[in-house]
Amino acid sequence: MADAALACGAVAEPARGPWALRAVSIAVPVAYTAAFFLVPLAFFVVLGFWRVQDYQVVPGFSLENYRDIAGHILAQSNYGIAIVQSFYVSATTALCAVAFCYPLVLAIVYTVPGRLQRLVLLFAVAPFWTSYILRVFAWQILLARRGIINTAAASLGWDWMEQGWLNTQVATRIGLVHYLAPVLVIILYVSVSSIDRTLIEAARELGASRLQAFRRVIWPLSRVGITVSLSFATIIGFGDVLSGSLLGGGAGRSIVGAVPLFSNMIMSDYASSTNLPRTCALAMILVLILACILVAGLRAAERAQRAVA
Amino acid sequence: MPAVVIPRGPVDGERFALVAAGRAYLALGFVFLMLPIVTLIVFSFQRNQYASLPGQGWSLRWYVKLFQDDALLAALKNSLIVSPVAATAASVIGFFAAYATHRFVFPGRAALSILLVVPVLIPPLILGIAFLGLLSRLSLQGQLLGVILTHVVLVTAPATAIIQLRLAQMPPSLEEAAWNLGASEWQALVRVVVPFAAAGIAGGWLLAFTFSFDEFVISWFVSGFDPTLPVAIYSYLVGSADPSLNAIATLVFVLSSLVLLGAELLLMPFIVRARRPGRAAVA
Amino acid sequence: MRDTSKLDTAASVGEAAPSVPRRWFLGAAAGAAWSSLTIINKAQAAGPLRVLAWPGYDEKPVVGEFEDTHKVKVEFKNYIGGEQMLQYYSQVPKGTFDAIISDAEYVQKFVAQNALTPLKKADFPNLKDFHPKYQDFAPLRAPNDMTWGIGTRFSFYGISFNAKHVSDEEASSWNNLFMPKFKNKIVMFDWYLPNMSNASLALFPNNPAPYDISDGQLAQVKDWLIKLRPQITSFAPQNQGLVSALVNEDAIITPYGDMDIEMTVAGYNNFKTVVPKEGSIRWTEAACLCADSRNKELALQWIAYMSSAKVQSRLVYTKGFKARAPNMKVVEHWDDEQKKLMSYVPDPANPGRMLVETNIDKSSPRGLPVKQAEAAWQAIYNQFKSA
Repeated sequence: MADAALACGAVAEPARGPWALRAVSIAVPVAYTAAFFLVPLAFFVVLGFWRVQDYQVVPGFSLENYRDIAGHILAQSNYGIAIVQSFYVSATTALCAVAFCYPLVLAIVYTVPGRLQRLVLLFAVAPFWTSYILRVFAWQILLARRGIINTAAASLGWDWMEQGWLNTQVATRIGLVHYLAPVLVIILYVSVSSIDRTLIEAARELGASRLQAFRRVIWPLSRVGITVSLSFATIIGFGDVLSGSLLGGGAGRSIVGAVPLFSNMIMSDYASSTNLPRTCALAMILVLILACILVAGLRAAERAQRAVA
Repeated sequence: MPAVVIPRGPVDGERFALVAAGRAYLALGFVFLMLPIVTLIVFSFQRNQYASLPGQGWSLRWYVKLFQDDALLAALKNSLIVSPVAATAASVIGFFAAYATHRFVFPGRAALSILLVVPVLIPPLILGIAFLGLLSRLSLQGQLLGVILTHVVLVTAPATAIIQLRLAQMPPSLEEAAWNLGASEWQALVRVVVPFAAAGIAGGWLLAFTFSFDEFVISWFVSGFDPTLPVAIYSYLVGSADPSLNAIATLVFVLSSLVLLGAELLLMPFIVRARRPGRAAVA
Repeated sequence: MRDTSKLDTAASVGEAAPSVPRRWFLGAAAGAAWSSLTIINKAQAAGPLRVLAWPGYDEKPVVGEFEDTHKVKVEFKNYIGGEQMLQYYSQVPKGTFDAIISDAEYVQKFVAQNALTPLKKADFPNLKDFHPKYQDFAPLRAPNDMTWGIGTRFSFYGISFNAKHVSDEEASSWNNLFMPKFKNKIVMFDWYLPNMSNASLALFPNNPAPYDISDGQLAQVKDWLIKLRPQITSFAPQNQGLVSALVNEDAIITPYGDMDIEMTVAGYNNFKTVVPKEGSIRWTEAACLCADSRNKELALQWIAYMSSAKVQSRLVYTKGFKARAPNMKVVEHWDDEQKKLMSYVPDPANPGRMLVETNIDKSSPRGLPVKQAEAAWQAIYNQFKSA
């Protein structure tokens, strides 16, 4: 089919009906988002500039919330250190998650017979079908000091794990990697499985070793998927509250120190004072950070895409 | 049929080692993925009120309790209405968004891609309050329709992302060829683009469904008196994690695995046929 | 799910609408269009009573009798956390709820929004069976000897501990939490209010209002907490986290209380709870009447129902959650084992009184910071967590 188009030399313009595809395909997502998301978004942004008096929200325009938060970045509440903790934990989580999932996807694509791949893939996504919070509870009992993993290890005579990993940011990462894995497996599978095998064959025909074929063909062509996975994982990890609080123990230890994640801090600030505007302002900082990660991720993905094309 | 390697004779030790290593890693990976699920299933059959070692013996008490408690089952029913509808709507919207950004250049194209992702970035807590405010003013709060409408906003992003990834692999010549052969752009869309993107749409739908099925903060705010499953689960947590929750999680897991397995086996012929020609040739 | 037309009316009647005017959004026509799109709209019997409540109130043994007697359905919106409750309440149309179960210290926040109607104590004959401190409960006092709510459940933030590793003596004082054996062995409920108030009691024992302290005292509270930080292994956002840490022995002690009851019910016999000698904080839930209720008569009857000894004996002894009842006659509905578990048994140290009464006297109701802003306390709590 493709050859036919090339043979013709010129591309015919498709016939356009009164419902031009261009208009419809742009209008549908725009209209829905405008109707059901822009208003909540505006609420969120505007509220950050409002104030609270007598436990009630007072409209107006004030930078007081932001000024107050600025005063807590490096002192008192120390949001700064919590942000650093979140960066550290989410970035390392993203690396671990991709390091775990990419080989998994390679194994699925290249060692599982084609007709079984979708089945294997479905079972990789299966953990997602149970509630995240219940999975986190299960990790608690697995990782606890007297938990399943330690008990099993002790029965094998390994007592070096006695301390347990629960309530450290290691446990946070385990919970997050497990949460992210099904999504990353899908993203990476879509990109790895589409790598044209004739390219790999050609490389091998030309005498490339398997490692070279991987480095020259598979790796460059997976880079878009990997970049998307990394930024997605960082964003979700940065915003997540469950793993950090239920596995990380609320203020789990990492090399940054025993410090809460920023997302957990927002939750606890929210729960402790009737001041939704200030919570919105705090959340705005989170959203801006995530947006930066998103834009950086998109840029990197574009670069990877261009490198391939 | 590990197709990456061209057979070079009857014995290829390196290939054999690689395949073995790959499968071993796959097995290990699945152990990690299934570990908490198995734990949860095991404790749903244990007498323990609180999951801890040692187990207190096998028992069906949590299943009995679950079926006496209509709240969780009613919530499951609500979730089974909300999530498929939301996932379907999100896949349709996501497909148009992905197609629009893939094919057309228009002002605000980059902004649209970003705007679709922004709902994922905002802490659900605040988004939940904002959605509730909006729906209240539309007199839609506390209805499953309201939950569906907000879930669509949330899960369009993952659906779009997967469909976009798939469309990015579509050679432009494919659609152009259809036009050259006289198809209208809608015909080309339906006959060429959608079939090509089918795997991506299915993946996107699945992802959207799972996100919706597990979403609880926003659902709590907008679901009113008819909670979805995660909302019902959430209200059990004030006391303690009731093992009936493990029981319902086990049921959901087993049922969904069976459904997927069944669908996979029934749809197999179509899937095999839909495989890309390139791979078939290699295999 | 409900009759939307009714809610619509309620929304336009309650003209003191929340932050943004109704029409600002889409206008009446669009609103009507959306309403007609309501595909999943369960028809409901007339006049259900709607209550915003903590979980537990909706359980069949608690509410069933009321529904049967009055031939009415009571619909519950369960929340977890006072802030969630307030935000939910302020975003739904006025008149959505007939009654609210609120933590006592949050009642003043509702009062500030004119959301509640005060109750005449004379309408609640069961009050005479309440513990004296709950007959006239300070945080709920309304003008003219009225009350903003009727107590339904309460309990203490004592010290719960694993008796295999901790003695009663060791748990008898907040200041013993600094003992070296508790290093990295304490699990703490992750909310500033009880923890900081208990710290205030540790420093200034038996203060009836531990949340009403000077800036200087608050600075001492901060130092006390920061000194405690290395002892804490984790912060748990709900009961589940405390229980999990205790049964798996990641922690052996918690400044939270009531874990003995949970654990005993679950088949463990090695957990105990003590209200320390310096006193402790006590939480209380109260049933309140919504000012915008369209069903006030029924709501009042439900509140009265919730004050009876029989109903409270069930409410505080639900399958998932245990607490104490302000109505002291609950003992008439319990067997000996239940009485013992809930500490409605004679206190050996105070002849003629029940243990629960002694603990009420030793404890102070949880309250909001008086001399400082909530945010100032939270900032200290954040600092403590990151210390």
